[in-house]
Amino acid sequence: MKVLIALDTSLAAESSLDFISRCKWPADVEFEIVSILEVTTGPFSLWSTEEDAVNAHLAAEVVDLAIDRMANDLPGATVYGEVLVGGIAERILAKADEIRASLIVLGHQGTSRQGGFALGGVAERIVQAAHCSVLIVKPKVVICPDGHHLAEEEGAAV
Amino acid sequence: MKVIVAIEDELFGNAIIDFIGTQRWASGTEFELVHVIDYPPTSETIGELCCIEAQRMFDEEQAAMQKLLMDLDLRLIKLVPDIQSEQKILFGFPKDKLLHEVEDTKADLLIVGSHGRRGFSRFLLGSVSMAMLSHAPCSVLIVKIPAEKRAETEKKMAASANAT
Repeated sequence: MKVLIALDTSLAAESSLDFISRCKWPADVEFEIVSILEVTTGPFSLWSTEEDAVNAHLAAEVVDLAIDRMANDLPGATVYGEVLVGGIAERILAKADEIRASLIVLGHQGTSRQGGFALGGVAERIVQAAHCSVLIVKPKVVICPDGHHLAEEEGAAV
Repeated sequence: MKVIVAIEDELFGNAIIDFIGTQRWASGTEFELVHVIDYPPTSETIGELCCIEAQRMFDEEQAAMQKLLMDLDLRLIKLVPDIQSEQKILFGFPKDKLLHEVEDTKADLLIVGSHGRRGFSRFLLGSVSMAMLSHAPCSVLIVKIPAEKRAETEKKMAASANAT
């Protein structure tokens, strides 16, 4: 069984990994961790090289940290990592087809949509177009008396 | 861990149970198989219904779904030992009822099939799945039917459409 884990630089990535660590997986599971480096196309890409370099560094770091964490939490599992360049949904879908993944895991940011895969955009497109099942991981949410949503550490025992 | 499994019909019900079977689950994981009967029927179905007929169809659907949930439950227990499972039939608008069920039981995971049941939405992401994706407070697993199995079913559907 092959599982594609798509991470971004947001908190949602953290809760995806929490969720994956808490699950039990078949013995033959292989994880492919990807982080997508979105590069602006067109003339504006000429001016954004510095920002791209920072983003590239961040994306690589996210993958490295995730691989370390998976090796720690799920000893024995096969874990690969890669930074992909291009459109987020397209690259994730292409990679899932390429490795014939049976599951794609995506983090979902919740109410705040910055830095994450905002639902209605990337996640929706992936769910619509994917050939395999998709797991959307959401951080547990508590609603405060003043109506704000606070992300809470997922504490439920498995 | 508490898992709610939304069962829409036999095709996706079986696909979901198959998928659950390929995974390992912690012992004591609680599964709840839920089907929501659309009641009162929405405008899409109301045209073909009148009082007595409606009651009969309603009873029939309820009985059929009870049987389906029972069958799926048996398969689930066979595939994944050492878990708890229960079945539940709810009445109302599917989206609302499912969301309430997820909130009330404080489920950790909701599993739904990817496709709708009515008309063209059968081939696209169902509106219930989409609503759950954006509104459910917990993580959501959307199970798709593998391409080869889907081609088989589409062929079957086309054959039955030709026959009528």
